[in-house]
Amino acid sequence: MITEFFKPATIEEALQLKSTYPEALYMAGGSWINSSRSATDPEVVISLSGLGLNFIHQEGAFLSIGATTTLQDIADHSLTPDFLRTCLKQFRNRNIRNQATLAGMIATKNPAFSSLTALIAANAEVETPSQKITVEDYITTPQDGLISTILIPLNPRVCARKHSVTARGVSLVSVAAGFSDQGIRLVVAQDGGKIERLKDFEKKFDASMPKDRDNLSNQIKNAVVSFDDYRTSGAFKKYIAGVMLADCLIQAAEGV
Amino acid sequence: MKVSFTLNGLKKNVYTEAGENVQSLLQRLGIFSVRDSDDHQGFCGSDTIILNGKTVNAGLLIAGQTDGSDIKTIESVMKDGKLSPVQSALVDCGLVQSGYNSPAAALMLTNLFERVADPTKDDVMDALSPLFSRSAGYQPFFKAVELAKKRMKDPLYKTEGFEEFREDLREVGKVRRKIDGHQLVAGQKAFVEDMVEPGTCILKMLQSPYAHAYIRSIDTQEAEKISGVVSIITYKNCPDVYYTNAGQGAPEPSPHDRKLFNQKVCYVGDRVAAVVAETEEAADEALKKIKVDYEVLKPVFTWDEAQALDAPVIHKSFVTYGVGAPEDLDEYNKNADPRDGKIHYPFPLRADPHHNLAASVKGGIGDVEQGFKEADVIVERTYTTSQIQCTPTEPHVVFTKMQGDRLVIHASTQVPFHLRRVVAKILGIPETKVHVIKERVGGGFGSKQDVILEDVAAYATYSTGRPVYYRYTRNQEFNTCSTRKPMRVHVKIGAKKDGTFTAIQMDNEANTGPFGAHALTVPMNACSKNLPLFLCPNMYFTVRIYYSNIMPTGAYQGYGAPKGAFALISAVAELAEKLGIDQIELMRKNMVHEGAVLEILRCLGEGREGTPALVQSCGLDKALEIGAKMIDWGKKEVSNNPDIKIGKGVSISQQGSGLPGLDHSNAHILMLADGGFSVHSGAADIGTGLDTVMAKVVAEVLNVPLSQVTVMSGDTDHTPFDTGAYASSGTFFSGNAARLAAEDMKKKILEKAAEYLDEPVEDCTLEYPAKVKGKKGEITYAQIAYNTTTGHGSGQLQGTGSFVTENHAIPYGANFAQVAVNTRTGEIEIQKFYALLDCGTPINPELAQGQVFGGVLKSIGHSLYEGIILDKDGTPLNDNLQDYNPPTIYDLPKDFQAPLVFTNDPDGPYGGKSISELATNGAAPALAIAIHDACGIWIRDWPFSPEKILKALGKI
Repeated sequence: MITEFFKPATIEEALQLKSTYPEALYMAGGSWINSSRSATDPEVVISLSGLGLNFIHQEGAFLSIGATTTLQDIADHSLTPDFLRTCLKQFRNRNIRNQATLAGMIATKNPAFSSLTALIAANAEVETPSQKITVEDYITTPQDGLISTILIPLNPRVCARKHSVTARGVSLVSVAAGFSDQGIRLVVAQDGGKIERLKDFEKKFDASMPKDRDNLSNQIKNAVVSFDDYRTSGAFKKYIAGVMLADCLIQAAEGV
Repeated sequence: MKVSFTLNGLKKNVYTEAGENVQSLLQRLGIFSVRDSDDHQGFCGSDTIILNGKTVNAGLLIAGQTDGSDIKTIESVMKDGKLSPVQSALVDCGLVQSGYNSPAAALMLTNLFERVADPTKDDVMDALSPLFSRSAGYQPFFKAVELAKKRMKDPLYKTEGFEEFREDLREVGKVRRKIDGHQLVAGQKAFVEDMVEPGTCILKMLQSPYAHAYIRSIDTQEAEKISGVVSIITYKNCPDVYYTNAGQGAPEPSPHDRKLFNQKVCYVGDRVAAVVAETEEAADEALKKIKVDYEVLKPVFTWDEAQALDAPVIHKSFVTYGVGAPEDLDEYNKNADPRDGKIHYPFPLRADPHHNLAASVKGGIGDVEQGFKEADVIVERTYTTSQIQCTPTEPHVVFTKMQGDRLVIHASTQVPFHLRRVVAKILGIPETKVHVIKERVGGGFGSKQDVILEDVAAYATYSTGRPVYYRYTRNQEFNTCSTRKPMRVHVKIGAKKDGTFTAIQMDNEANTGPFGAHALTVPMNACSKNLPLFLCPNMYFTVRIYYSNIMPTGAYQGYGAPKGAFALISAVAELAEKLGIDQIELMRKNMVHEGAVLEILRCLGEGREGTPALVQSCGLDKALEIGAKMIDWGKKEVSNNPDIKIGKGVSISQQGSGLPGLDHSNAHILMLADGGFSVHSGAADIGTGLDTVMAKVVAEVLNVPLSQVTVMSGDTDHTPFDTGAYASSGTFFSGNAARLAAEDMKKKILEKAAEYLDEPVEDCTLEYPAKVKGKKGEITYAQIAYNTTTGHGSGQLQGTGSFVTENHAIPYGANFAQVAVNTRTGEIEIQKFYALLDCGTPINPELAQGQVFGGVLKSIGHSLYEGIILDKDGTPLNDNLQDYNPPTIYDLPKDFQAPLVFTNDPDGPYGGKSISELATNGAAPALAIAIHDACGIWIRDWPFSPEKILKALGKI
């Protein structure tokens, strides 16, 4: 049960509170922390809502999104890249999107949040008070710093897909492919598993794209490590990841 | 902490814990419309509020977040107590059925119109994406939005877009506002949770962590010492009374195989101890302090495991019979283990509990062996279905209290009178000491036909004298409630080359879980609601129902009919393919028609000998004709995408209208002082509009406007007996009882009017509105009411009606599906679904259509997505709505239509038959057949997942 709710006015104040209450959680929208599904049970939360982080604007070649900007506001913004808009609109429902934030999603590092694969494929970055790092590094390494801003390349060639039982169900498998000057980025996330880039596969296919869709999906399938769970078999997840990612790869390569 | 916010325009300063959930906080502030359906997981949207102009889930907010905010709830949109255009449109389009989250739906659409003046279909779907609606299947929302838009310009704009029936009638068959619609969509007090009084104790349950175990010892001493704990109930101090929790007419065709608490626990989640405490915190603490020592036993989860020779026995009980005990019963009981308790059979169910057989039945007509010998072609297939959760948006809930020496039960139930009987039996008190008040029911779908939690709350109150509130969490809905029984159906059909059926055999196995509630009747319905679709001279069926350690099962909308339909109609389609005959042609050649006599029903009497039924109305042929044209049956559709294969499927289905020879309904009508009428009926309107059906029927008979009729129903003190809302009995049984009561009232009005007019009764007729015309004069009902209730009056006019019958009024239907199967991903898109159902005269057309959409979408969910999954120890893994995956608005068929096929059944009230259960029967076979037509594979077990599709296609 949350017994202490702090609403600092500055990032410095938020950091000071965190150092006073190391077990405290930062709260952006709160849709995950407050959900009985999250299994989090903090006693102290530090709200980010007073920090002036509700913004979306262009910053050079990036879209700069404040930590408390809701998913719905991001999805509705004219500058938001289409790949991200599509991902966000497929997430749960409007009520959740009106409360949840991209910063909160990143902080959970939850592979069931399919937008995360897309952000990694786009090589998006997060700013914390002490550093600017990629979303990939934030998620795949032991980071828990206060995310103030997310920076998303404005014109990425990214394509993302997800598999769920119902249209708005939990994302069991999500994939994303991104092309940039640095090369391709292929990302797979499995609910109950992890979010990971297929780096070996990226190296292998960076130079020459195969034309055969089925051959491509078969090779991706073999590169994905999966597991059985109560909903689907590992074999199915490998297969569907291969199919979806092959399609994404081809579409992204074509600049769609 | 102190938080300040604006609530519906008023400034509020609230002292609260920072982490208090905002949905709970709003309830504490008297806002009843903001409800919780999902343990605060943001799935159902029942807790929707508008926070600073945006819809959010109050259950996902804590009080600290609301400081300085602006909060609006549905109470903010009403002016002078009148419904807003959105609210009235929802009611008038048949969307306010169970109504538990109707205020939330209204709020979502109100917010939509604030953002978008002329919303598109995509806008509507986006706005309603937070809503979980099981009752009306979402589709009518699109019509309601159009209506609301028009009413914003013209508040009196009439409802449009619904077909009306019976030009000869004034109210029946016409679109009228559901009589509890205003109360529900306005978010007024209506449900059990709204009736709970201050000072009420909380009941919480310690549940078994094991699927199968004896309780060696249980120690509650430490728990009882906790301040605020009032009572702890276990198998040691509960009544030694065995009963079934199935809400069926007595004597029930279900074994009495449980007490309030048993020494043996039979599923993960089974009752171990109930804690009654003054606070939730005290109850939680007490639960932790109860010490239980279990002797863990090997569990049994499937029918195959249950019938194995060395299978662990779930109920090694001492068996007794009301009548018909077998001669070797004493010998049989020598094997009983006292720790397993007893089982009492009111009458034999061909059971053998010491071998896990809960019940069995077999029967047939003609000679199937000979029939198969005469067949040129035989198809033999096996189909399986999964365990399905009913998922009402209002979880199971009860509030009990003492009133003097009487127990009052505020219940969310489909069976108030059965509930009274069962509770009185457990407590050992006369029924006069129990008063059941059925509140509005926020979704039942069969699971509220059973006494799920009222029994223990009633005993807690009766034994302590304290008011008790017990409400299931959503998690408990999944782990200790009533679910659809899994079944395996083996079908064998033989036919001549010309398609004439020569024999049909159905062999059914069902898994009833730990208790035998509806053990016989639900699986029997796989046969009784499907075999009579065909006029085959040789039919045979067997049904065997096994105990196991899965969570409890019971009734679910359609009983066993959807499972039998999936098997039988799919097999018929396979036969058609084998014969090279079009499936519709084959069905037409063999199917039932008006005037047919259904001999097979002689041996399908649900615990008694049945009677053959004369089919007096049947819309099947018409439904097939219209549906075939709508979907362009026979035309192969081709996608531009080579991965996508398109196919079409069709199914026919039937249900019943109650249980002739078993069900019984009564009604009582009083003439009021102004000439209006008060109808008292024991019927249980669970959101389907049954109260409105009765009001319309009475208004029609008595020639008064609908506004001149009020209905009180489902109150065991104030209404006469009714078996309750199950087996699709409402319209036919309760509606007919109301009709008979109205006709009795009509007779008395005419007699009294004749006396006052001094004319022969034969010269008097009822005239609209509310008067009697003779040859010489006329008199209004108001004048009659005044005359009869003065100091010299002859007494208030009262009419009574009692309805029983042996006649069947069978509703029929045809379902057409067009699917696109992505052969690369295994995904199925339902491009078209047309449900053409014959409910006789649709008395409430808009509500009937809503129930068709709701029933079909549920059935689509069962076919494609849903199913409870247990781990190896019997713990449910998908025990919340998000992981369980019922369909949402984004899972609607792209083109979804439900034309009602009119027939006029001579036994129905003004020709009416049932509708809601029928709608759940046809989707599974129609979809399975369409998938086969698309890509050549047969999927014979639920759900038809992409993984199964890909496996069948050889892709994985």
